[in-house]
Amino acid sequence: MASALTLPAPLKKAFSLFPLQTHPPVPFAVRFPLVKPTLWIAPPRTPSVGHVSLLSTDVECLKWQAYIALRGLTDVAVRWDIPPEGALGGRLPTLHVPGTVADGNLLVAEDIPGWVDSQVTTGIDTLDGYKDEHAKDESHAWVSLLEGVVHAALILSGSAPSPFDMFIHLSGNKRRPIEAILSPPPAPLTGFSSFLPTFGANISLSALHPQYTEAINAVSERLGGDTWFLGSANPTALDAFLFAYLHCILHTGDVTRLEVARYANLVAWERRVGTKVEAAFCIALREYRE
Amino acid sequence: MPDASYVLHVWSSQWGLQSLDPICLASIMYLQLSMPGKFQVAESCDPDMSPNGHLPFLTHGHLAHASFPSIVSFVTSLSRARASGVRNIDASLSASQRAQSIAWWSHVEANLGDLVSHMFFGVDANFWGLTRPTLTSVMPIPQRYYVPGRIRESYRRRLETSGLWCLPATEQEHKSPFAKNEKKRDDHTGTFTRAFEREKVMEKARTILDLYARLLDGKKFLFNSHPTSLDVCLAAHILLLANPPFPSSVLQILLLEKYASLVDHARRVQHEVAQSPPYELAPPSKSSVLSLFTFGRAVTKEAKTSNPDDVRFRRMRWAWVTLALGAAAFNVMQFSKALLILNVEDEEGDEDEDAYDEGADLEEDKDED
Repeated sequence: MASALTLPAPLKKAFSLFPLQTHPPVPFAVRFPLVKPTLWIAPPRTPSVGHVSLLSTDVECLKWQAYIALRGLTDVAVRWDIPPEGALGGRLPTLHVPGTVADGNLLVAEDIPGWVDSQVTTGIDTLDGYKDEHAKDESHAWVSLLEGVVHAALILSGSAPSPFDMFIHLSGNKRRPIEAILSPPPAPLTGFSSFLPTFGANISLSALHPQYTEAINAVSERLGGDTWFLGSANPTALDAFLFAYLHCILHTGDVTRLEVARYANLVAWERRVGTKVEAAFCIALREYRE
Repeated sequence: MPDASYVLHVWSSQWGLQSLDPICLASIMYLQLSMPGKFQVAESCDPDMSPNGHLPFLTHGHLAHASFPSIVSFVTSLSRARASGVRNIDASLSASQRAQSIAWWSHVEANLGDLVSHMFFGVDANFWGLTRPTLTSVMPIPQRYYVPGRIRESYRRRLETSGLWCLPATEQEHKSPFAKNEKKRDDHTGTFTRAFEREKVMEKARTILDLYARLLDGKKFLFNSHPTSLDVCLAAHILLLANPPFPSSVLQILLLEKYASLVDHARRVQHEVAQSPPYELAPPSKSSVLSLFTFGRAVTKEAKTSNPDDVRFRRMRWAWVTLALGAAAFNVMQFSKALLILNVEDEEGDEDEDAYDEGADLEEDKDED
């Protein structure tokens, strides 16, 4: 192909007036080399008195924080100055690990278990830490309960964003909408057969409240006095899940919080696991010394 | 209200099953096991009558309970009253088993429910070939033209999140004149995409169905020797995957061939339910076109009390409305009489009207005047 077409001479002369110069790549040292693996999370609560908590207020970020901590890893840094749009996939959390590349590698949330497996020295467990196959199957059921009714109640009990906020952050929110969380999905607020175009979702906290109460009762009943959920010997991913939801609920609106606060075993369990999770993290110091 | 009956409003029966929706079917079977002969079923095609916008919902006088868990908890509370004759089929479960049952319910509704909605609404061939014609046949005009599409749209987000939305039809056989050209161009990439998507869905379905097969583990029912609410919920979803004649039935074939234990369990529950006395069908409520224009419906429209105070109140209200309208009409007439008098005296008014009709000479006339 290249030999069949050649540049005509006058054009060549014209192009020679504008020579192309290539320069070698400029090496530059990374200003702030990454020392520890850093998890980018949504900002934690800032209480007016007392020390700043390192646990994120966002359920998704907290799930992964708890997972990393409960798998036995320690000395992981956290930073919360990066908004969701800056994270990988437009969603927090993102894990920044020191790697072969000078800047380190960025991992999406779904890749965190693989990274943790590579860091933890124990062998592969087909049961993922559960007591037996039956418990492992049951864990799927509890995950769907937590991700369904409990997650929806948590979202509905949070303050609704004002229309101005929604306008400003129009493309920033990549969370799952309420229509995708519940099954069957909620009907539109305007109804299916009205002539108005469909709008909104016919779901409210009061409608969900009986199911939510039953769900929390079931969780408390199943936990009983066990150290870890489903009677596992060691913490599992389900424990991380459950801790994230309990922690967020206990620091949120009154109605949802009261339901969980009624069960002493849930509150005590959350407190115990919370200290363990928080102990595994430290603030990424570079940003906060300046 | 001791006289009011319990009426369950559901989607109509199809394909040899009591309803075409899994939650409605589960509710009917549950009520037949716990309160046989004490309830009526009203076949409805208007989900907007329900408090939460979905069928089924159970009415008893002024009360209404929508969604399967709230119907179950209502019936459980009824069963505590000894005189009601209502049985609690979950009574034999221990507290721990009850807790597990609640978790499994939500798993069934989320995952099996997703598979059922995928088969009915996610696959194009099934929606256009089965679901839409069925829904159209039960709905009146004009709802039949736009409501099935809206119901499908409401499932879109959930199915897209689970990766079960809108597979291109795999076993379609187009006989349209353009099909040949399209096929030649897209054949390779289209076939691979379709096969890949189909394989993803099948893998997901296999994981979910394996879970239930292991849970069942050759037992007759999930917990005891008689069906509980979880058995009913699971059976309803399995029956709605097994019975309907789907045009694109790959998932159905997988279920019937590889998971015979789940299908047998569903048939066993169906058989137990069939042994209860049959339910009555309540007369269907009339739907009016005017009701389409309301926004936010009230649930119970049946409370026609013959309370004398209410009757008097209604009469007085109509009297007030008539009086108000009459007074307004009288005022308008008086005002228009005044207008008429002005018009007769002022002749220029008439001239202006004629000039307006003629057009060009308007302004000259005005200047002269």
